[in-house]
Amino acid sequence: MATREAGKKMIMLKSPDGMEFEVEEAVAMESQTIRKMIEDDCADTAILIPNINSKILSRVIEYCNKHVPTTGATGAAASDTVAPAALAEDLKIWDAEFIKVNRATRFDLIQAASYLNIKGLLDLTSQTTIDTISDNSLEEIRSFLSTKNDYLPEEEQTIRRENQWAFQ
Amino acid sequence: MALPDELLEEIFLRLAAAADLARASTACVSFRRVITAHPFLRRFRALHPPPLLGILCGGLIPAQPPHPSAAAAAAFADADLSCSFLPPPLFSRALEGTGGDYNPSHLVTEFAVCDPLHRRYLLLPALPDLLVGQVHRPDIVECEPFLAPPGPDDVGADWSSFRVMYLVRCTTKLFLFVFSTCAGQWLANPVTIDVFRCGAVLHRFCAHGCFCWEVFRSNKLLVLDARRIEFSTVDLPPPPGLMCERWPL
Repeated sequence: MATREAGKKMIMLKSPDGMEFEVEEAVAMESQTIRKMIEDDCADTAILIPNINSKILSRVIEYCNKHVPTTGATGAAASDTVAPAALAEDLKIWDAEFIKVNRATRFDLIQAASYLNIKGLLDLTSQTTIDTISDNSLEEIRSFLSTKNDYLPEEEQTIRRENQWAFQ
Repeated sequence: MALPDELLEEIFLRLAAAADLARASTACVSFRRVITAHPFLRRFRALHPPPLLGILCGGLIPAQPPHPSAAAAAAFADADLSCSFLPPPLFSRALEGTGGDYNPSHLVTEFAVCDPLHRRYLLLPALPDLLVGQVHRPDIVECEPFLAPPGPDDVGADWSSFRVMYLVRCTTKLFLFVFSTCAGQWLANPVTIDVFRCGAVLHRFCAHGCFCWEVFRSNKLLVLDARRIEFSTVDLPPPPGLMCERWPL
């Protein structure tokens, strides 16, 4: 149920395992999916977020809380008072800490970011995976992305030959 | 737990280098399936402009180290730009077409589009007599075929679709014949524009979905909107000095 607290509109988010999270509307609207629900007036009661358990949902909310553009009493963006570069640097350090999670959690976060359509979080969670692809051996890529080499030997040979240039 | 295809797609889209994409595709069957799917490649291309592999000048001059494309360019070192993979009768006729006795005013009716990297080609249906008949051959100054991206009316166009345009310049009129791989045939009518003694046009340029030709000594630019297939002319600013010859940049 949308309520008011200290002049800020609140939204209730529910995870499938029954946990409820009350968050500021502005924070929830970091998710384009939720923004659309709110704008289409589909959010009069608590919004059920399917497929995202409470552990992951709370991390997502943590991310959105940090990344929501903060507004002062006059409505001016906080970046007007804090140097934008310092703010961005602070966020970067915070993001780096935030993403220090195990593989299963990272995959869950990628899925949540994709479903909730939070571009910044999807960029952040994907980037770690991308760095792995750029910097590591094929075996490490496979292990990082939880996949196995399922090519037939001759198939693998052909594909390796075709893409040899990419391994130089 | 493995990521579903649509999320793999999201991740692979963010890879900056095509080499990383190629490496990931060798990891397992499902990665390759995601990466080589046409819709994905189209999205990837839209985000990452194609890398410079080399310069076509006679043959291919590949990018050299330390250019980031050097390794990829080296893989194309054996690309057959002479198109010798064409069947012998076609190849010999193609050689005639580019040989010393090549006559630019000769109206060609048969075209083969070649892909030297994959050693494959597509033979287009001959330019229909009905179209050829509209051109008064003695008036032909020059003919010029070129490739164009698919047009807005090309139903089911995908990344492998293209059009072939054949510009026939006559003394007072331009004819443009258009073939689309989606339609599988030449457009029923040529697009024409009347020109006043369009004797010589210089090199063709491509910018913002338009082909442009600078008309020699006329301060005019001939523009072809490749989407709408419409000709127009643009007045160029006067040259900086009377004695200064203008060259296209």
